[in-house]
Amino acid sequence: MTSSNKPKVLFVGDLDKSQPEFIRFNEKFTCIFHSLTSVDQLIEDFNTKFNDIEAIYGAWLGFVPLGGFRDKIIENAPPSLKIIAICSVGYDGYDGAALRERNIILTNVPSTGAAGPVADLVLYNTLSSFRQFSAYQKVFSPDNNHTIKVRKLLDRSGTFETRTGQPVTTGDGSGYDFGEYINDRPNVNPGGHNAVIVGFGNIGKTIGQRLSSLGMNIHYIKRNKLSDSEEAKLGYEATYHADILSTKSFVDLVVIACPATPETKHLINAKVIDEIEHPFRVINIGRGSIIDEEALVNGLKTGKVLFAGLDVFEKEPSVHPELFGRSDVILTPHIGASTVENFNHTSVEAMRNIENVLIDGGEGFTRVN
Amino acid sequence: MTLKQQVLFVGKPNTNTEAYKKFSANFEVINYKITSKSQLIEDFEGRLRYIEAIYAGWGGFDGVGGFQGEVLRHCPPNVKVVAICSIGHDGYDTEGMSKRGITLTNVPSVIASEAVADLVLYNTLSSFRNFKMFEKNLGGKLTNTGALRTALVRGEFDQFNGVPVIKPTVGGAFASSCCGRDILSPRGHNVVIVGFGSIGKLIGERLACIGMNIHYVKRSKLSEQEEASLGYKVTYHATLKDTKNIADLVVIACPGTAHTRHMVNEEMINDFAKPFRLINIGRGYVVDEKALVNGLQSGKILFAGLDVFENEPSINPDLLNRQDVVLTPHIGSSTTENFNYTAAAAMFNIETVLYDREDTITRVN
Repeated sequence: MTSSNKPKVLFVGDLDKSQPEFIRFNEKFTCIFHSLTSVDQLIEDFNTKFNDIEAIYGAWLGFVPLGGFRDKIIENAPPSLKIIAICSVGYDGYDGAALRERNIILTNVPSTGAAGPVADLVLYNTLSSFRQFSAYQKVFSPDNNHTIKVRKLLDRSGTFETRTGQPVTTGDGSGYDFGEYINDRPNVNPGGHNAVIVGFGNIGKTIGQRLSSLGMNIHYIKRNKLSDSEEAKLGYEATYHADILSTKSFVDLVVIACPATPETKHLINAKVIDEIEHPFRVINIGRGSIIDEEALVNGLKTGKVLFAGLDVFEKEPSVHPELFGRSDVILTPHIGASTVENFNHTSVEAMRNIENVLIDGGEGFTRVN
Repeated sequence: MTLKQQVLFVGKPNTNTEAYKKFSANFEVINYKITSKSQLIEDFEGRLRYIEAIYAGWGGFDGVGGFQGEVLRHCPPNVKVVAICSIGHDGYDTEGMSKRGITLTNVPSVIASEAVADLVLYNTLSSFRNFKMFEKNLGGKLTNTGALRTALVRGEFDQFNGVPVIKPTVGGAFASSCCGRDILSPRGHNVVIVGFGSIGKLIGERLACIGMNIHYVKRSKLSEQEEASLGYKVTYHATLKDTKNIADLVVIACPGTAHTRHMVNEEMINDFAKPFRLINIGRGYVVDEKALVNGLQSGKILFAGLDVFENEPSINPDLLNRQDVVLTPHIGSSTTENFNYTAAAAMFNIETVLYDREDTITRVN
């Protein structure tokens, strides 16, 4: 069998080629690695050198640089194309319905591999939100390379500057301080405090497990309450609430773990921030549009929001400029699920989907359209 | 009318608590700021000569070389108890105090252990996921998340200085690596906890929760029953050296003694089979800080999370400004809950001794 008989698969993203799964895949398929440039170029390629591709490995970013796989691109997709396999859970950048019309299967990779790493990021942010670990990093310097001095400089003589999100240092640092405060902000144990997790699917439940191991009280918000037996299976106690304002009198930390839908847009807005009774912390690993970023910034500036840990952003990939440089904010560039293990796991699943369709004549294991 | 017994406070608890209000109603609190050894001795012989107890808080006598030697010799004759808030009692001459009939009490605080374990958990997550590198570099010229990820994926790590070398770039890479450093889940990796007392065990609990394999080094192995009651699986090793082929992360949670000094040194760092991460919440001098810096500069040590330092309170300047290092100023147990809990416990200890009650106190000597 010559190489030209092997079905062609277009790879628009990378993967670890040393994996045995890829080595086997590469024996069965002709793999074409390609960097996308423009919609026009892609259409031209679909009509010429890519006119016989049977599958596309969409990886993570996929066709986002071209505005997504939709409209003109779908119209010009080669008739031989049977499946697009992507690595992420979310498939916002693909018009699943239009693909279905053209008999092109779209598969994703469900979040089983992502839940652990994302929950670990939430755990990291939670610890910093209560213990303010990230605030110390800025104060250390060659002039302040003295543990007691750093604590004393940050003591209660100063008031945390909420406008800029900076602790203030006062005095010359001589004397003693235990460090249980940074300025007027106490360092507290997460244990015994109340976490409200918005969205309680696979990722939300794993977050609940992590935070409950710190001794936090777990509350969840979901369209429908879990059944008694589902709640029992969690392995920890969790209290259901229909909406976030039901928790306004006791919430210490809000974790956004739900998808972006018309219902969830700006779920956290100025009104909610105002109505929550005590200053609180927020972490978002769901989607940026769920939080009104301008309202969040205002909340931080008044101190009503004590801390924000954000892995996603309203106008991603752009970040609201006033979020930068604040000690009460941790920003990560959407890397909640970014581990070698997950990268490899999802690449293997995507390849399996392609093989299932092209060789076994199946519908793909995790079809979404 | 009986005069209230005098208690010297060289530490400052939170006066806004029930515990303090009750205590100050029962005893005469004398607040005192230590300035010098000679002044303290003068006052011990002068206006402080009737005190019967000392609330020493945290490191109360550190400024005058500890409660020993001349300071102990001149301690007023009626002092029956010195109460500290920490577990560690470095700088207290416990034998000398026993000879003088002075009880030393400390506070073995579970709340403190939990707080320390939480710090170790934070550092562990950072050590495998390289969070600090992402946090520190988002901003400035790189305000676009996709661009930052791609820049970090394509960049290089200046190992000597511990900083990434990156250029702003266009892209949306999936960052499973960061300047050539793999980004991993702690899950499935091996942590070696050196010192397995109450703090070490809690650290094990936290790290077992995120899927790590827990190994411990202790002078004597726990019994089978003790191991079973932990709630998570553990593997015992007699020495740190025994773990050299498997360790991905080493957590120092043991006290500083002649035996543990420089346990982590150049020889150990070279001997370990894989590049590894190090977290120290025990005592600074368990780690040879110069050897640690060399290890970081060579890349044999992938990450260091330090709450204690060899020449504390001074920090080796080569540890500053590295993105593979997270420093905290010895705040492992610094929470308001712990501060208030240990203050109340210390006051309870003083009251129990002065009123000669039968209640159990946490005495050291």
